Amino acid sequence: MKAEENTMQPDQMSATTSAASTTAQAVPAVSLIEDQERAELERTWSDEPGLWGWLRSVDHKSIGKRYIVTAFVFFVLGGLLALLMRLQLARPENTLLGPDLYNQIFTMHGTTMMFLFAIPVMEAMGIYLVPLMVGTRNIAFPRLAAFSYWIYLFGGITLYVFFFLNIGPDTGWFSYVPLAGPEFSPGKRVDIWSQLINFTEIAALAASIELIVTVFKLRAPGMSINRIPLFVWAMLVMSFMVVFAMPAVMTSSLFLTLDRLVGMHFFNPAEGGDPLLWQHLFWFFGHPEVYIIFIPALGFVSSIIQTFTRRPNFGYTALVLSMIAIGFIGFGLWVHHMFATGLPQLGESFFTAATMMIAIPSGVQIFCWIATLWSGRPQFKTPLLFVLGFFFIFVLGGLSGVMQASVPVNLQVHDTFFVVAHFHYVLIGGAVFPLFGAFYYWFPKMTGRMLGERLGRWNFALLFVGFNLTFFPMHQLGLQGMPRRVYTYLPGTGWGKLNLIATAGGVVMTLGIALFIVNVLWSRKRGRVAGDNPWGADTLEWGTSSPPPSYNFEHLPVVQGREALWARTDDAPVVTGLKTDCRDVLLTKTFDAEPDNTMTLPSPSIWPIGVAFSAAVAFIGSCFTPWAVVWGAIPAFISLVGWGWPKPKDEKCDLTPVDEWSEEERRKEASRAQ
Amino acid sequence: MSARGRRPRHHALACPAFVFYALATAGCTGSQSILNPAGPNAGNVSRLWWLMFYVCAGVFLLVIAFLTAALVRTPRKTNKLAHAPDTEPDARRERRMRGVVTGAVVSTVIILFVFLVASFITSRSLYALADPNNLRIKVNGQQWWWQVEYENDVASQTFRTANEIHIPVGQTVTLRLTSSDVIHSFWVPNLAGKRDLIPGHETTLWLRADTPGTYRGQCAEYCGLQHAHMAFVVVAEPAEQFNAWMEAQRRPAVAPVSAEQQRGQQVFLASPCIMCHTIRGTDAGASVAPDLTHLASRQTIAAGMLPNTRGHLGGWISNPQELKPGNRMPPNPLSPEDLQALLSYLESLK
Amino acid sequence: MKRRPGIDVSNLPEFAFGSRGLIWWGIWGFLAIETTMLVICLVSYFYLRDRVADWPPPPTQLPDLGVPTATLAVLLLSVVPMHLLERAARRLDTRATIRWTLVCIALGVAFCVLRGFEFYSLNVMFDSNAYGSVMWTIIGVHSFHLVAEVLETCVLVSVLLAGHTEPKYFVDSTDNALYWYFIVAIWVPCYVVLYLAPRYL
Repeated sequence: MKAEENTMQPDQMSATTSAASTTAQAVPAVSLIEDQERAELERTWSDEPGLWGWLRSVDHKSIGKRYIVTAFVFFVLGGLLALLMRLQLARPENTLLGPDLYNQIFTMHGTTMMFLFAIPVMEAMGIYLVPLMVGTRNIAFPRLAAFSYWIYLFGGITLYVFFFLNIGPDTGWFSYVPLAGPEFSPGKRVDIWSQLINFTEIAALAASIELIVTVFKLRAPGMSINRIPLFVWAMLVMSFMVVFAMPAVMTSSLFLTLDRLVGMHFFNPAEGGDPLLWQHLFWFFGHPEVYIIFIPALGFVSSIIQTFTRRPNFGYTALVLSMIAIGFIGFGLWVHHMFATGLPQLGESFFTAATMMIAIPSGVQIFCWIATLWSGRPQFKTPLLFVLGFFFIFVLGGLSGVMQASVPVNLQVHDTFFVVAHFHYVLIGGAVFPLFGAFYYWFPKMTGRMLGERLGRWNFALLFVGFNLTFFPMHQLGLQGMPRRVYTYLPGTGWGKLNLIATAGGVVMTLGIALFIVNVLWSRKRGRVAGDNPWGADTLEWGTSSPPPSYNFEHLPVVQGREALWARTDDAPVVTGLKTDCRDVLLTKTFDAEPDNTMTLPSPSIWPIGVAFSAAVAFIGSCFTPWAVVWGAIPAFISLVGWGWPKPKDEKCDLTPVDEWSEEERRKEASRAQ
Repeated sequence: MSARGRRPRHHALACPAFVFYALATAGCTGSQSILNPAGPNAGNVSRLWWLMFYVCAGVFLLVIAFLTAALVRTPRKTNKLAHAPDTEPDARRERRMRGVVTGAVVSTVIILFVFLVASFITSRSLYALADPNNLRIKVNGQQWWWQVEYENDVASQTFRTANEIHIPVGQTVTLRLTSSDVIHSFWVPNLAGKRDLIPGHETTLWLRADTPGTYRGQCAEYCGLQHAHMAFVVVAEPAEQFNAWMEAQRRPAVAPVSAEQQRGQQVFLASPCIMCHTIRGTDAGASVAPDLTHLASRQTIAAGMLPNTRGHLGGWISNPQELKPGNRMPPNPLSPEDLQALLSYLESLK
Repeated sequence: MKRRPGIDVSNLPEFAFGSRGLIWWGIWGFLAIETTMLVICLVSYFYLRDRVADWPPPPTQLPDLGVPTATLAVLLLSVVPMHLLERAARRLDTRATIRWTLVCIALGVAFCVLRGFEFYSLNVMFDSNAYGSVMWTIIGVHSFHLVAEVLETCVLVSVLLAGHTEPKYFVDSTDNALYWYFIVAIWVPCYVVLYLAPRYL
């Protein structure tokens, strides 16, 4: 990498160092707080050094970063599994992988990507960015955030340990019964899949609750509802969807575990159960799941387009309402995964209409963004390239989705490679491309250094070309009759050529991802120093240093407009009066973000790992015996008590015990707090 | 880096990729293709698909055109992110864009409505094939083969076969679908969309072949280890040929004639074969495996996996686990003479 | 040192009840999740019920009503001391809060014990048929909440009894009341669906 790549071009220097910038990007020339205050804030909010400090951290930035890295590791693992699948399918009657290993691999690929990568990485970006974007010091329920990470990590590790022991799940990421039931899948393979659901869903639910509460209660003064950044709206909608969708899969996996472990009959037709009940429950979760993955990506796209066209997004209200609409309508589509099961005609028509209808709010988003690009000044940095890739790929995928909404068409292409092509177009195009754009966009904020721009363009190009080469032929393969989830196919079918092209594309994609990893590793140490706001963006996280200090902002900002930093004036007020020797945050009113009260957030603690570990014992043990729930519950209870029990060293930040107050004080404080 | 900046990469690189792809796939309307319909069920769907394809392709090109225009039209004399953001966009231009976006949304709604109506009409045409007078065939899916039973009001006229369905050209057939174990899906792309076979439920599929031919089908719902090798064949033939086939299938198995065939029948009846297979007219009456009464009349064995030739049959009988690992048929180590005799017998079961 | 104008928050209350705090919202989120889960269980119940003509499917008998009704009665009764607990906590009245919490715990232990016997009123085992499975599971999921809530309440009163009477533990007690009301409120429709509807509708 040439040294010239690292030096800033004079006209590209960050606005923070130019003296005569426009008002909207001015940063005060003098610091606002004493060094002593800053040191005290740092002491209060930073983690202890070393491994012990890292394990006990409740800093949303630290948790967010480890969450993102872990999710990316799972993405790479899932991608390697896919590469193996592609290598096996490159030729008819190939013998690289036998049926048993192939079936485990495609199950692991889907399970990894959907449960261990896609949702966690979106939650993780939210955990890192949302508190910064709303202008507060930490996420709500910080210990819960730590717990969310640990339970997720333990679940992912457990799944892969089982896989490497050759008892990985092998009935698909959707695990249909009766194939996944006790009769046709004896052994522990399906059980670990079912428990993985518990691990990952609890992690996601915890993260979602934190995000909702952070957005509702911890926004900086002045950030009224109509000034919330689009990415924060996206995380809010996504979090609500998680709250209502995840319980469905937790329930279905509970039923499956009960059928397998203690002989219940939810899905056993011989005793009054029904295999279709599984499908309804699973897809009631499974369909919103893909919108849960997609909606944060819409937030990424909005953020990137706004910054790189140098104007606010066109149609803020339409963008927000259409995200909410997608959130609602997304819950009404699930039966379109079941059109081949012989449903009543009226039901089919309703779900066709609903499935087509969701194209409307998605279309609104696309049209508003094109309008923004049309009337802005596009700056073709790598984040915007990935967003352009998103347009091309996602729109194509969305259109193939509309085709499949039609029941007659669906009955032909369902369970073929046409569907595989469709959902990879919408998931990789609709979520992964924006995610890579987001990585390039926010890496400077998280690490203080820019990712290499030239490497970024090659990364994008390889990924874009590789992706289309891999998945476009799959449309045709599906039309030519190739079903899904097959470990091989006969030469006479003629599917060999397109499969070979798809495999070649897979290799190109792998190179693209490898290039990204190289870029990250290199740029962490040798990338161009970023400064506070290298992109000249408008959201609050760009108004503090890169990376942010442990306390996020020296003073919490007061927001003056929808695009916070672009609307900020030289004499913009800040929040004063928060304690610097305690983990104090400001709670504001839900709608108009007026300051309401302050509270002390919990400090670092080892107990969240304790609870996560106990829960892991309970879940893994439940693969083998129902008593594991009891064994795990006891240490979990002890850890939960430890989590919440008052700690002596925090007491300097607590108020004095009420028992020591006078009657008058008690009355006055009680009435102020109602 | 040029002062004009870079155009989006995908334009430059996409073209050669697509040209290569187009060349590679020329002439690839394979036999199992849904776009190669041979009957009204698949035919109506294929028409609907093409309608949607052309409209969607048009929409896609339009969106990309607008996007490209948006990107290239703005004068980009400078490439500065330090460029001041346009926090108060021009009100007239915003109003105009609102009109265009609204127009785009309205067009989207109209197109979706057209699709909805077309889909509904096509759906109705599929259900219109239902008729109580149709020929009724019951298909029961099992891991990993298809049990086929031709129903008849007269019990003695029913018969069973496996993995191969014959239907008369031009006549609608009602398939009643069930499963003995896990969920499977019956799919013959040239003739109809798929229908799942679900334990505890019975589903129905109607289809008709208007062109004679042999159409391959495959299980389309992941059903375990050998899901990839659970195929079948639908043979559509003119009415007289079909009736002749049915008559032949109704008859019990041909008695062995030559000495080798008789020896072969002895081998069969003395082996574990009879624990699973039926040959009507002999004592073998188990039904957990395909009915072999007219095995030699079928085009394939092992659920569409292998052609029905002496060599393949021999390999299959000796060690099915090597060809289709995990399937329910155990290896049968027979002496070479016994195997040859058995093959001669089985070959005679036309 | 030049300073910008500030919004000074040093005089704002340092604790607040209900929706002005964070935990209240967290509890509501948790309740939304658990309500969704129980609603889905009930929907599954109706789905399975719809597949057969007779419910419970013969030869399974209807459940007895005695113990389930007693459990419901104790649950409903416990709302009263819980409400009084909430009012005491909002007044920051330590002794009253502890007193009413202990009453709630006593009632909580009572309904947990009754719930244990309730399983045996069902006249069906969880592995007999789908009806048994869904009944045991719905009651089981709810029972998990009963036990968890009683334990949680015990922990909260222990904190107060140990002398930690900072205001935030009173806020915790009022937020805990929400969870208590939930486990009672959600059981009413469950009781009607599981016990009354098959018998009388």
